[in-house]
Order: sequence, then C-alpha cells, then structure tokens
Amino acid sequence: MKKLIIILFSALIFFGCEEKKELKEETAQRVDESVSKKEQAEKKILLDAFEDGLHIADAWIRPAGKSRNTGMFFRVINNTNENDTLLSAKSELSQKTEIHETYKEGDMMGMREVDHLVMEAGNIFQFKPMSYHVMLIKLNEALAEGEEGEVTLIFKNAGEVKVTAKVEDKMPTISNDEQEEMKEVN
Amino acid sequence: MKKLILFVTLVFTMFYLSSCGDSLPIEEDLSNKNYELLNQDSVEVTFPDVVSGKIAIVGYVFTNCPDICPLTTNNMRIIQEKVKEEGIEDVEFVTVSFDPEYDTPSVLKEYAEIRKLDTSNWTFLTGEKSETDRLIRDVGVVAVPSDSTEMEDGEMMYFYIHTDRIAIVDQEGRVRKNYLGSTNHLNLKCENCGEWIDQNVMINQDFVNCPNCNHRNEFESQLAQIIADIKTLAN
Repeated sequence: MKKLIIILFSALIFFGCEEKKELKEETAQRVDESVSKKEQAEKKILLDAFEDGLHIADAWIRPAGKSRNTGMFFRVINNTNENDTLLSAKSELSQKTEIHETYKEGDMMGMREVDHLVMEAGNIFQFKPMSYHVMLIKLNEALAEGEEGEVTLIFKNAGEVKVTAKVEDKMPTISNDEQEEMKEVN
Repeated sequence: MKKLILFVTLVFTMFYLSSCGDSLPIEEDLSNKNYELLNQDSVEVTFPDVVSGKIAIVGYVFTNCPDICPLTTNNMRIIQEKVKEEGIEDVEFVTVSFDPEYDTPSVLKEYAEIRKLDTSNWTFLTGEKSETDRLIRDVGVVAVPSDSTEMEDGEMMYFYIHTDRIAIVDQEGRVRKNYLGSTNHLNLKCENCGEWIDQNVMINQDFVNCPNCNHRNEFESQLAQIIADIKTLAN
C-alpha cells in the first residue's frame, strides 16, 4: 500500500512538472513571436527610410586612452535582395581591428572574436552594447568625446565601406524613437 | 520528543523572521581585512580603510574592456550624480581593477579623465596582482582571461570573462548587497496581457513597453533601489 502511495505521489509530481515545463516553453514561444512581430514592424519602417543598397548608420565609438581598447557600434541596413557578409574591419585608429561579440554566462560577462557575420537581405543588423561590436585594439592615439574616427568595414559583396563614427560615451539606446535619431553616415 | 520538535520549529521561525527583517544582510565582512593597493595618483592606500566611515559603491572592471565595464562605470557615474542630487553625504565611489598589470595608476587616471568623471569622491584602485586577486576572491568576483589576440610585436592581449557587478559596502567595511553592474535584468509579467517580459534594461530605466501589447509597465529602477539602500545604510 505504502509503495502504491509513493508511486502515485511521484507520478503526480512528475506530470505536474512536465505540464509546467510545457506551459513555460509555450509562454516563451509566445513572447518570442510577439517580440519578433514588433521587431519586424520596426525593421520595415527603418528599411523604408533608406534607399536600395547597403548602408551604415548611427556609428559611434566609446572614448578611450592611447594604447587602450574600445568598441565601435553601428547598424548595417542591408536594403538589397542578397545576403552580404561582414568579413573584417580595418582602421588607422588602432594597431588591430577585430569583429567581436559580448556574451553572458550566468552572472559572468565576456567577449570574443567572431570570424564573420552574415547581414541578411532586407534586414538590419545591430552592432550595439552588450552584443556585437568592432573592437579597436591598442589605440594609436586617445579618442576623446566629441572627436571622430574612421573605420573601414569589408563586406563580401559591398566591398570596402568607410564609416565615420562620433566618439561618444553612450548608454544602450532604449527609446521607441530610436529610428528618429538615426543618421546615415556614408 | 514533542518538546524537541516545538523547540526546533521555534528556532527556525526566529531565524527565518530575523533574516527576512534585514533587507541588507552582510554578504561579506571586510572590516578586519586590509588590501594594500595604489590609487590613480599612485598613492598607497588600504582598502576598505580608505573609505572607512562612509558608504562605498564599488565596481570591478578592467580598462581594456570595450563594452561591459564602460557601462558599469557609466552606471556608477549615474549613481554618483543621483547621490549628489539627493544631497546624501558621505558616499564614496571605488573602482577596482582586476587587471592590474595593464591598469597601472596612470592608466586608471586617464580612464577617469577621458570620461570626465568626478574624482572628488571616486577612487580607482590597482596594485600587485596577488593583492587585487585576494580582494576580488574575497568578495566573490571572478575574472578569468578567456579570449586573446596576438599583436604585431608578439604581445598577447587577453580579454577577461568576469562577474558583472556593483556592490554597496557599509561604513564598517562590510559588503551589504551586490547588483548587476552593466544593466539591470528584468523579468516581469505584463500587467495588461500577462506575457513575460525578459530583457536587460538600463539601471535608471523605470518602465518597459510590453513587446506583445505595448502596455507601459512601470517598476522601481535599479537606480532607485540602490539609492534607497544607500539611504537605509546612511540612517
């Protein structure tokens, strides 16, 4: 009798947990879908604002001292019918220039180099804080707020694209009016 | 036997109630510890003595970090501005480097200057690696070189994976609470449609629009929580 009670109790817990798990997955999927719907709407507005072609917008670099590292953040608007690939970046600002991503593991944060990034056709790719950035390693000169810096992005199809970025100490943008702040820089 | 059960239950209840009543329990007691470090002016200082008698907001960074640590530093600047605006006195700010071999005092000084930080109550600390390692280990911060890149001259540049943290330390040198350093992680249910909103937000952000129904959900920002905690410790 005791064994039967234990088995029944365990089964109840097991199925209860399974149901919870399914519910959680379902909720997560619904949130993903709703986020995606909003992002799609935002993307359409932004894409419509740009002519055909590949564009770089809203580029900025964090200030940093000489021989230090810093990051450049921007958006790639691929208003073409073909995927493009960001292969590398180069700049006279630093001794080395790499494409990096920031990643999270528990409460730990880190960054690492990425080999290349695909810019989907008819889409916007964001290089933003806590995410992808162009890493300027060992600056040749200090970059202070208010200055400008030039970086060249090398794409598979679009070729070399020069970007002039403002040096600013920005926080991540959260405003719903983000698109209004965007300016084409090349 | 019944008496024993009753006694154990009482002890547990008292323990539970006492821990619930304290919103800022002691996370780590550094009051009897001394870390011999250097500030941004190359002056030898002992932490936490250097901020003794004051509430300290402490951040852990490495200056070669292009993304996370600048956000942490910027968040400390926001807290500093808010503390000033609220007229709260005797609050100090401390940034500890866990990469002291690169982050010499002059590098830290330049790091503060280029960001136009107000160093009147903000100290940047570095020192012997063994000493900074001892400090970060004691407060539970982990910083490990992970990815690296080789420079043209053969020099290796290491990038750390590290704990993303700002801490509040009381007047006695005891860590009372840890917060996320670069952003505040939000996980709340939309009060209109009930969907979960799971995203990182800025520390001074106090609302988020639901991605599903666009309802404006208001909440207490991490900045407001930190200011409230500073006030609790100040009184």
